[in-house]
Amino acid sequence: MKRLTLRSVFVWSMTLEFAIAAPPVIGTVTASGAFRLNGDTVLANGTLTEGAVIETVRGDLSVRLSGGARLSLGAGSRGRLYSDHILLEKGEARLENAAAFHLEALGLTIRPDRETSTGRIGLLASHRVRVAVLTGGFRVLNARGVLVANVAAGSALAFEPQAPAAAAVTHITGTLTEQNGHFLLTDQVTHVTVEVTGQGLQAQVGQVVQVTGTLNASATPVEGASQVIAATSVQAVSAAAGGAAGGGAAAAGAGGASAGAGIGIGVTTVAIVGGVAAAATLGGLAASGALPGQSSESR
Amino acid sequence: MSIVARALLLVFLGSAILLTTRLAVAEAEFRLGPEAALRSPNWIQAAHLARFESSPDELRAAVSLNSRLSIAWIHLGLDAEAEGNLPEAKADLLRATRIDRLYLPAWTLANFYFRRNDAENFWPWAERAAALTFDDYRPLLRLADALDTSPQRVATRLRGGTALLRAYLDLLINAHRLDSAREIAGLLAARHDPADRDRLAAFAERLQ
Repeated sequence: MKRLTLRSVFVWSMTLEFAIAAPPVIGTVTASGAFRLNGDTVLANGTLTEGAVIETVRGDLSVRLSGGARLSLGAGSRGRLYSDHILLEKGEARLENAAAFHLEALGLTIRPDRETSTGRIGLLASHRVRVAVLTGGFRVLNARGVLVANVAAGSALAFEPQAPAAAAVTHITGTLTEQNGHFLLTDQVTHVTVEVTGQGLQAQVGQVVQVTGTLNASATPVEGASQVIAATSVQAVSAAAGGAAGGGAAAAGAGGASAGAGIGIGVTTVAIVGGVAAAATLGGLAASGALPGQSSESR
Repeated sequence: MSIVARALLLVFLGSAILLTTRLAVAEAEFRLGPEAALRSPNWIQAAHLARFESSPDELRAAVSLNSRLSIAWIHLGLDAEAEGNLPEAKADLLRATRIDRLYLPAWTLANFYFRRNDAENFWPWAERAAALTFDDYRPLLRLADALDTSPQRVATRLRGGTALLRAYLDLLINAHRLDSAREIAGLLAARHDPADRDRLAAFAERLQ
């Protein structure tokens, strides 16, 4: 309680002072040595203003924002910081105590779902984002604000936004259920629950199915679902050629996208939600930093 | 001379001899084996506890082992500031400047006052940091420039040498603040340093 009160005073005093004087200060940054701040070389610590670009030189750096969020950037990382988010341009960031803060990378928004959420978000090459969650959970949304994944503690997913032409394609796998005449499915990879519309769904209720379809942005989903998918193909998993390994490629073909075969995430199960391919990465827990050295799959 | 005065003189001389001897021994130890001298358990333990990612408890343990560990005081000050405890933050950062007269404590304290928008206390520490800067003046110049609308006054308050003026001129030109840059170019030109001829000529050309 005392901690919260003191923080509130700190936030209030900062806001008041910099309502008068520009530029607005958003927090402080500390590092074990030199780092780059707005292109300048800075030693050990510095002041962050809205839109500041920070880049590690050697070793990590740690950011404390006046809103209470804390994050750190790993070696070789760069990001542009605002009071409520960071645009990650390179490397990896670790978020903690960041309920009102989010990270953006490759057009995706990665947002903690509670104050105690901690996780590592990294750019893999130039076209893929990895989200590894240590505690709590993170929500991943695409550029249009569509929920792409819920990443739970102890798991790690890789995301790859697809070409704009394939942005509406969805390919998900899970058990189809019925609720008051609506069909729901929670994807096994992304943990996103969607409402599915289309023909022949009643016969598949209770079975694990692969659904390929497109997002119906104008429809309002039933409670418990985040979006409505108009199915173009529904297949029971046992009937799907090649099992789960072929799922991504088959779905991408059915959906008219090049996603599946071209995703290259290199794991067994690939989901596509909101035009973003998602797959579990190796060493979910180990990747999130919970169990150093663990290399088994999280799923 | 009274007995009391003699006794006091004796105590004074004894203390002086003791302190001088301790210093001489410490210096001799360091000269004979710097690595061994730095292997003092307290020194190592304190330094180990005062990493930049250390918790406040670890930092407090570090300064209890070695109260002259300025980096630990700096981190304690920044932690206190983040928690909203500004008096403690200020005390810790000032303590770091008293035991370490190099660049980092001065830079840190200048930043602290900048964040408080406390120009009066900012300038003395910014001036000290400017005097101790050996490579990149720009971070300090950006803070100072944000607190004063007159570049000439900024340069004067920082008691800037030629290197600082050059950095300030380049910074203002890159920010397309040519009127402000003209003020600094004037200060630089007044120094008549031949090394600035090309820089000033290029700037004059840009103004035309």
